[in-house]
Amino acid sequence: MDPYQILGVGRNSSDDEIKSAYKSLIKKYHPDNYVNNPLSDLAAEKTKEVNEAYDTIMKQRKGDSQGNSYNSGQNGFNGGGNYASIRNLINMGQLDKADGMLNNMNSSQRNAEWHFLKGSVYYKKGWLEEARKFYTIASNMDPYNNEYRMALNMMLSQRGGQFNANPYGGYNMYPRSSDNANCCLNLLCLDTCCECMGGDIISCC
Amino acid sequence: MFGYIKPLKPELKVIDNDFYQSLYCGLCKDLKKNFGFISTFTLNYDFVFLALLYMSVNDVYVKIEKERCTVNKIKKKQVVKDDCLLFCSSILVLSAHYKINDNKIDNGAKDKLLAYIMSLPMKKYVKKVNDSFSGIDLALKEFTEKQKQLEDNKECRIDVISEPTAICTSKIFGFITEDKVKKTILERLGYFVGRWVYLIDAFDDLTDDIKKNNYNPFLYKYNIKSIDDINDDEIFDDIELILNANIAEIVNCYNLLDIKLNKYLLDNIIFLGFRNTQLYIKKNKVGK
Repeated sequence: MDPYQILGVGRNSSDDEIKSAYKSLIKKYHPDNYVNNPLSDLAAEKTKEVNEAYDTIMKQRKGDSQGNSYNSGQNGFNGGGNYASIRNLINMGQLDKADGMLNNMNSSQRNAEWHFLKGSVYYKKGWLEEARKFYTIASNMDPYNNEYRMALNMMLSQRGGQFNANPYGGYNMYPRSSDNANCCLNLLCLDTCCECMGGDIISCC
Repeated sequence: MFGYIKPLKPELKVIDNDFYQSLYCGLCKDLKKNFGFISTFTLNYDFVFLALLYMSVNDVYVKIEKERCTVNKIKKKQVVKDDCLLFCSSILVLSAHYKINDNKIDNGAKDKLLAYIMSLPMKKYVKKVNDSFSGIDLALKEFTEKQKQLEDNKECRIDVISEPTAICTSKIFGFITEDKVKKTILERLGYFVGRWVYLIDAFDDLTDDIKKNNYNPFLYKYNIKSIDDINDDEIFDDIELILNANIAEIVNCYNLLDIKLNKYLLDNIIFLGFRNTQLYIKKNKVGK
């Protein structure tokens, strides 16, 4: 596929335009946005496609390997023993089996990782409320664990209305207070009334 | 008119707004052509979204013609004409049929009478649809039964009660394409769209359900016993958080689809439209 088409830029675009398009696409398909998501491998494929397109274009333009594309480092979080096999099952989409194995563990074994993996099973199923509950418990039980904290923070920011690659980013959905706009109108009215009376507040209108 | 999934019109370009309207008219005309005049009463903005998605994922470039409005014969309208609309109108008719049957059992006398009047022509349409799209009927049937079962058991977990709608919508969206990769993405997108629609409907009906003592998952989640319990904003704000999380998942799937056709229109609906509906419903509930 045409690398220019993949990045969504024209053949005559400047290097800066290409870099900017590349950065926004990488942000869109970033693996952090798709942690535990069943579509994460599709996102990884898109990232690879975008990286290759960027490298190709940069090589063509500069004649040497100055691609500097982003390397999507795999998050190598590994739990010990039982958890490794449960993680595998979750990644392969065998959620019922994973859930069964988790439920079979008795309450003394249900540590932070157990709660995190239970949350991951629910997240993959689409049960967002249950997932959030379990991620919260996992993060409380092990506050220094990055993996649990990242997952929880992502859910919390999404609940707050933060969406990935939002083309309207920064758009304020809530009604604006009209006080700021009114002051100009008020000054104009004041000036007009003053001029009617013979004075002049704003000399240029 | 009816429907929760709409664009935020003030932020639409005129060309996109015109296209959106002509798609709505196109669906109406398609319903009338394939299923008769009464079926046009089932028309709903949510299905315009489905039609838009279908066209954009499958790269369908449609014709637009000028025709007179179905209801107001004097007005001439731009109307989208394409065979792909049959998919959406079929699902519309089928889902209306199941909703009408539901109304026959559940609601008050006025709704029941309306339901009986509509059900006769509906049966004829359903037979016509099933000849072309058989899997959809099964999905809708299963969903209706499961939903009823959970509501009768007064299920209080949000995830569980919204699942039947979510799974049904997921299957419907899966029918949009045969491409395996896009199908997976569309099924997850459909899951969260269905979930969002169920929850926003529950949110919209919250005050009515308290008054009529009907089932509503939010009544159990927030332990609401009477109208006075929903006087504070806290509950509405929390419901908004639940709904936002849904939209975020829809966004993640939509981004992967990498849609180019009708991108601006779809961007508006997904990034602005959903939240705008939430805001609109929240504003109209607070203070009631």
